[in-house]
Amino acid sequence: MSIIDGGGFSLPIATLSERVEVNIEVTDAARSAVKSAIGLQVDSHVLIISAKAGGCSGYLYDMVIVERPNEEGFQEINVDGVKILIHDNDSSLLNGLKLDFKDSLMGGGFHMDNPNADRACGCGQSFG
Amino acid sequence: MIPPLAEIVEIPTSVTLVSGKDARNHLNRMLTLDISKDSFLTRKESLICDLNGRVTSHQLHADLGEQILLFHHESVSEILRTNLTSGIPWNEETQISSGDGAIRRIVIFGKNPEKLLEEVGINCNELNSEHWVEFDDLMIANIHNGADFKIYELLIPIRKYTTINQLLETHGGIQGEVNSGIAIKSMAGIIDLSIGIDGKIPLDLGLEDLIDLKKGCYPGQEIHARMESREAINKTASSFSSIVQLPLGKVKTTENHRMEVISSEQLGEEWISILIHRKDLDINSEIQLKSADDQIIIKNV
Repeated sequence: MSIIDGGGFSLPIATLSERVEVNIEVTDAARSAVKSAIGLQVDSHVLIISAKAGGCSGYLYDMVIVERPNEEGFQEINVDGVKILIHDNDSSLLNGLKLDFKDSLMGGGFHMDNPNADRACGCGQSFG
Repeated sequence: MIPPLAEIVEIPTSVTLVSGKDARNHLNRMLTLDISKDSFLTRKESLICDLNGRVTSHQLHADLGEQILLFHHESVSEILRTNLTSGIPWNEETQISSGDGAIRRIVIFGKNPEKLLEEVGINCNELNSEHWVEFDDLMIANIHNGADFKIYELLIPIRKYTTINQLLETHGGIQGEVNSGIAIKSMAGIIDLSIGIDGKIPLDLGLEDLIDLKKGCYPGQEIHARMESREAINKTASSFSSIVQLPLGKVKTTENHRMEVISSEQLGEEWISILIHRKDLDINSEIQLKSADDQIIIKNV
């Protein structure tokens, strides 16, 4: 028997997060880059933008292209046929986000401009 | 002052369980230390800091694989659990549960606590401070192995607490007060979880071991890295003894050096305190502190 098997632990603590209707802005450069990344899988795959704990400023952006997940709780934004999904739990953190793409060797790639961020870290991957 | 055999002290502790297949990754993104390669039964302390690099919680880990137990002071339970429950991404499985009251943390210290522990069937030879060792349902580590005294830390599930405590007493262990448990750890240079360090910069407390600037980003990392690169780590914390209790907060020496008392607990007839001070302060000779009534003499221990 392990030290925790005898009970005395609560049920998992529920996360209460505010759900808002998400609006995001995708620049022409970002739209083109996302379409290029998804390629021919545009009907089956989606881009999910999320925020997870960590980074210098408290939250880290995460972007993945995956097959459309079965889970519920996502809001879908259609950008020229590309589906961008944001989970309800992240909606208050990411609402109003502007997604841009810079095509340069130094500091290139996707960039986020987030009106909910009080501060961001130098590398641009973290906000708080 | 140091019991010839062993003193047993329960130090009140809150418990938080982080579980799930992504528990380690989730926790690791927030901590000042890298736990990504920790193995089963790793024992380590860690910090979570705010964006300004100041401590928000100080916790002790007991790694059980996909379940990580965190022991911490009750006063930081809310902020720790709020931090841990936020930012769990949609594709990760991590649950946070409270285990307050489920597990007791005790320290056993003295000149010869091994004798007592061996009487109850615990082999002390294999114990160290970096790993917990399981004996039946309890977990134990040797957290200080000095020539003058030794300290063992035990985690005991509540259902076994009375039995084990009585067994330890039967074999000669003396029940002690919380103060002496915290004081003996201070004397060994260990800042117990019950000492309030929230709001402090860890590098001002001599807690460099709890900071890993090579692990990558964590909240507060920019501040810590800047302090390190600018060689601005000019404070530390040390333990001192005195014959009176020191009031918590800022004090001045008679030579006008500033110090800050973060803990002052009684051990026998002495008080063992932890003070933050400039690194260049000579602490090897007696220091006189200004006090409203009189001067207080403190000695480094």
